[in-house]
Amino acid sequence: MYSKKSNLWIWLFVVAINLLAMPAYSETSTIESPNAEPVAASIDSPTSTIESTYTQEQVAPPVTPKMATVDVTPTAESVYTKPYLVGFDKINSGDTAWMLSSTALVLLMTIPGLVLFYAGMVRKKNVLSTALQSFAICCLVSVIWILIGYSLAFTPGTPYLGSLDRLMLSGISYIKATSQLSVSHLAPTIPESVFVMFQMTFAIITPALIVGAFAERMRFTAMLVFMGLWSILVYAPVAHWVWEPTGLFASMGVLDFAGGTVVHINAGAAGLVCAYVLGPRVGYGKVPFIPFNLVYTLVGASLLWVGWFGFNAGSALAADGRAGMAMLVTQIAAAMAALTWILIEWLVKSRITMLGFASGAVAGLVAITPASGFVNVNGALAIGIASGALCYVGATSLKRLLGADDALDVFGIHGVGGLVGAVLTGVFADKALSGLDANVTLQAVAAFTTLAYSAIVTLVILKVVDLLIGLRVDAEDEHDGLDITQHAERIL
Amino acid sequence: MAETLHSTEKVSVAALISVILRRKISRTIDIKWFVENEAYATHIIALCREQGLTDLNEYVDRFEIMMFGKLSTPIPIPEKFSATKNDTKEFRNTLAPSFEEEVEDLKEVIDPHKYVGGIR
Repeated sequence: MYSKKSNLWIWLFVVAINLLAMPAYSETSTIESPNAEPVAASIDSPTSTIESTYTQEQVAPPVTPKMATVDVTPTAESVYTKPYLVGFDKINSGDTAWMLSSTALVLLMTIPGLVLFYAGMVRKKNVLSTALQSFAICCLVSVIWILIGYSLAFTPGTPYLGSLDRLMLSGISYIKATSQLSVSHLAPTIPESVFVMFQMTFAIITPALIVGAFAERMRFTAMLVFMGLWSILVYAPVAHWVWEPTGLFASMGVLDFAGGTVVHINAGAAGLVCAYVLGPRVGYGKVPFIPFNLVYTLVGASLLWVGWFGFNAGSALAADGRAGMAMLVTQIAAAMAALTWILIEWLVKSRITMLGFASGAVAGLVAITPASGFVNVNGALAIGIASGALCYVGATSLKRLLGADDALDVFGIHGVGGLVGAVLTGVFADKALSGLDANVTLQAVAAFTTLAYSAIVTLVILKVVDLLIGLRVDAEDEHDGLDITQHAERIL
Repeated sequence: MAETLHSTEKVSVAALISVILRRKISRTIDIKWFVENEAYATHIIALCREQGLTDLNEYVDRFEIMMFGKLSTPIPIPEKFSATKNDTKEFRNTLAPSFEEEVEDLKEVIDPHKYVGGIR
């Protein structure tokens, strides 16, 4: 049940981390960092013709630093395709302040938002373990993200995967002596450190969402290993495809403003596969699994809602009018979806539930995510209605049809909501907002390709972890609850 | 702070003991009373010692030191079998009716079919 850990492994881990950190420290501590030489591509070059939602809007040429080691004076038409150094004066304080706030808001979605949302829906004997899983993922993915995740996702490499240029965040600089700091080519008005943190919070919440699918039955250690591998092998590549301008889908013109495909379809597909592979909980379909406290769930959903303003409006990567529009449509879609969900619930079951309201709001938030920077108010209302209705079907009828014990309906809400949002972004995208044309077919192809990739790689990872550690607790431990059997703690 | 940590650990160990007792001899104990009342604790500890289970004895030793500051009873030498793993068919058959906690709570739920096969 509960065994002591070997100090040897801890020491080995600490030594390994220090060995990895040494070269990165030596690189960042010198002024002559690799990105002192910005890579500027001509407007006529193939890479600069990519229809990126970021690079074409805000392209700031780097200053010619007074004490820089490399004298580069690019033209105003330069488009940067990788992170580079700028002077302090090129940083927009308004944008930076908003992105710092957004980062905190998105982290708030996971801890404590998702923690409470999920903990309230499981049985009393599994509340602590379910809450702890999201918290542990937050810690684990934070480290993985700075070790390798950010580099794989947000540096140019191949269309399928980024490079290792930012391994251990090497090259991310803040040099007081020369008044320079590094920025990402995706967000040239904010420090790269802020961009790394903002994207880290997305990398955290995505695997944390999957927890709901295998709740109440997965070994804690197996969960940690699975999430670590999933973050590197699934999340980082998909983020690269969709958000890095040279990525597979971004270069095709697929629109995903805040992560409908990267976060929600990705997590939904992985959740469904987890539910199938782990199998149903003991007693599933025979005895009631009474949720511990739905007030926790409503408080969690409320925190998710508020945090989603950072998620969507923050994805504008600037404090501007587009961020304002994203926030507005986020609120409208969430409210409309909640009302739609409870209307259907009332028509079908003759009652309106607290869980229905919370689920409907989350469904709307999920669906508006990819569309938030591209649609107007009418589009938000339509997406809200569609997601409220279809996610209700996803969490009830479709769930029964699929036959998997997706405990907290990760696929029904995030998978279905993500698909609805991705496709309807192609339908309702307003060119006046973004200047970009949308293509419904392209949106659908990207959404289903991501669904398939996530499902297949998740299956492979699960099988490997099952062989190495074993995925599921035994029936005896499951019966007593994961709180006591995995963590030696319980709610009295 | 140290007092709180000590108390938390005591409750954790008491909870582990309660799980093993319920599994092995179907005895349910009051964990809160177990960590607060010395007489009750002494009685339960004696009951645990009678079982002669190695795993259980380890937990009882830890609990006794935290509760009384010393070991008051000798540790039985013979080991019958492990208490933490039981994959026998007989035990597995007891799992189904042991959802009694939820079934009892069901009385407060209006629709008895609610939460069966899905939360929504």
